[in-house]
Amino acid sequence: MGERLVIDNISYSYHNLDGETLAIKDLSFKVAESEFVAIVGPSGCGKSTLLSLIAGLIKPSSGSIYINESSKPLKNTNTNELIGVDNKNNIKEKSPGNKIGYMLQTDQLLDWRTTFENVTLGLEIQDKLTNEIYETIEELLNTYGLRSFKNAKPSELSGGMRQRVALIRTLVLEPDILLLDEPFSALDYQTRLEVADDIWTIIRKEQKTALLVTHDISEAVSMADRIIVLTGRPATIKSIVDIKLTIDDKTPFRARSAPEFKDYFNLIWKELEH
Amino acid sequence: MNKKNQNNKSSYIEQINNPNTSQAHKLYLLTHYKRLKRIRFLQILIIISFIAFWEIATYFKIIDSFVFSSPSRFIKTFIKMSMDGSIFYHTGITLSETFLSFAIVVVVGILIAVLLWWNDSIAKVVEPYLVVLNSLPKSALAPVFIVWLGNNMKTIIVCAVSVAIFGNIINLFTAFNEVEEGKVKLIRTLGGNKKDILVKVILPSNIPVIISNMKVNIGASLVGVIIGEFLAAKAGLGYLIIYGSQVFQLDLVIMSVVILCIVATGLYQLLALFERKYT
Ligand SMILES: Nc1ncnc2c1ncn2[C@@H]1O[C@H](COP(=O)(O)OP(=O)(O)O)[C@@H](O)[C@H]1O
Ligand SMILES: [Mg+2]
Repeated sequence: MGERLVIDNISYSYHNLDGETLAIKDLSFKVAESEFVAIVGPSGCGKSTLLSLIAGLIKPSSGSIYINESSKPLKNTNTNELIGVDNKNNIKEKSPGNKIGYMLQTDQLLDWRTTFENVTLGLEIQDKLTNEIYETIEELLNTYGLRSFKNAKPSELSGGMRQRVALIRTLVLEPDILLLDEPFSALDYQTRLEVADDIWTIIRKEQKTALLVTHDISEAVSMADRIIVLTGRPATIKSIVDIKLTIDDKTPFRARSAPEFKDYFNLIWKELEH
Repeated sequence: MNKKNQNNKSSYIEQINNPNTSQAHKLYLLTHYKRLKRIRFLQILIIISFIAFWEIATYFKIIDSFVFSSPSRFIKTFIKMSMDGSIFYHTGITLSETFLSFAIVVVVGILIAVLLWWNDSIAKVVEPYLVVLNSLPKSALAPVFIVWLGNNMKTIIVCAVSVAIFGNIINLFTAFNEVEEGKVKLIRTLGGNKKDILVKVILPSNIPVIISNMKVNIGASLVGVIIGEFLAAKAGLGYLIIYGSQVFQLDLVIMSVVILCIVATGLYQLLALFERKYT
């Protein structure tokens, strides 16, 4: 199995009139195919920035990001170009939606679109709407319990359903890598556990490589194969912990009752403390 | 507000007819609707007493009907002008000028707001000019327009457009920029460019704003058309008002004002209806 994602010594600074903020400093790590990696770190340390960099929404100040090895590095070649959006030539070539699926912190469903129309948003933008895709969408909606809500507006959906719609919207673009930025933080605890189970199962079933940002240690331990702990700003790697839980038929919910769960929890907790 | 009232009404009838509605709740609903009816009754009473007082006061020569006109006199004028069709001609002129200006204000307003949203530098540069032009009383410009454009309909349209368009641009531009940042980020994560952000998020999320602005614009266009007609017209309700006052035919003036009231209300209701339908 090859490396899906290679982060090679990247740094990133925000510039605004108050000054310069170094958000990420000399960060390197790799993610293998179908691996589920969680990233934890103190709030404001640069986790969202890291995901934006991987998604190609912003360019690293230095260092490179390789996706699928063969790809060209997402390198900052043109300092005038702040974001890819304004540069139409650039978008076609390495449109972030192509290889990377990005699930934002809130579902960001568009109120005026139905479930179905929300799911097709990315396909519309990338001009990929075909009859086969319609069938795939129908299947996905059926599989994830949204069949009868196909024509419902987002306001009629529960928080968990909305999050699943957001995931399907990302999945239909067939991304190689899924980025999840605290995707459950807007949900209440009960729903959170359920949706984490749902989404984890979906990601595993579709065999996606996933990078989950969270500040919830239990969530990270229960879902990930590996946890990357970041330091405070500027983000650098504090430690990397492989998670091996002895449990049959793992789901995030069942993982919580694995004998090693507590040890991992304490380990990460300590790492974050110092 | 109208939408709410209508919903209330149908839900009211539903609740009253529902056998499960408790007696106490029915009583509450009844009291509520009695109060609404009383308010409506008072509103109608005021207008009827006003007209009656006006008519009686002029009939008994308490006030001079030559200066103040009277309901019977302006209605007579209305009937006379309906017979020869001239009142419909003048109302039609004012209405078509208003619709034309309104269409220009809506379309050009959206186009310019989009341009400003698209190019932040242009927006920053023109912002102070927009603010000044918006706060300037446009009636001050009307004489200038006559000199530049002549004593014709062009002046009236330009005048009406100038009354409504700056506020329209400012409101739309502000609303475009208030769209949630997360939605913009979403489009970018889905591989969209600026055009996609505009078409998929900015415009659709602002349809309610655009329509509620249209309600303001239709009124402002009418104001602008009347200002224009005061100064540069040979037809239209504004022309009738000015002409009537110059030849001291107050019946004509008052009748035109009353028609103007009806036209203004009608146009607003038309847009309100449109709003209920599309938002
Ligand atoms: N647009 C910006 N301009 C300046 N500083 C920013 C900007 N966005 C984020 N930052 C700063 O960069 C740091 C990292 O932000 P972020 O990646 O959002 O943190 P996290 O997701 O880990 O909470 C924070 O301290 C934040 O204040
Ligand atoms: Mg964040």
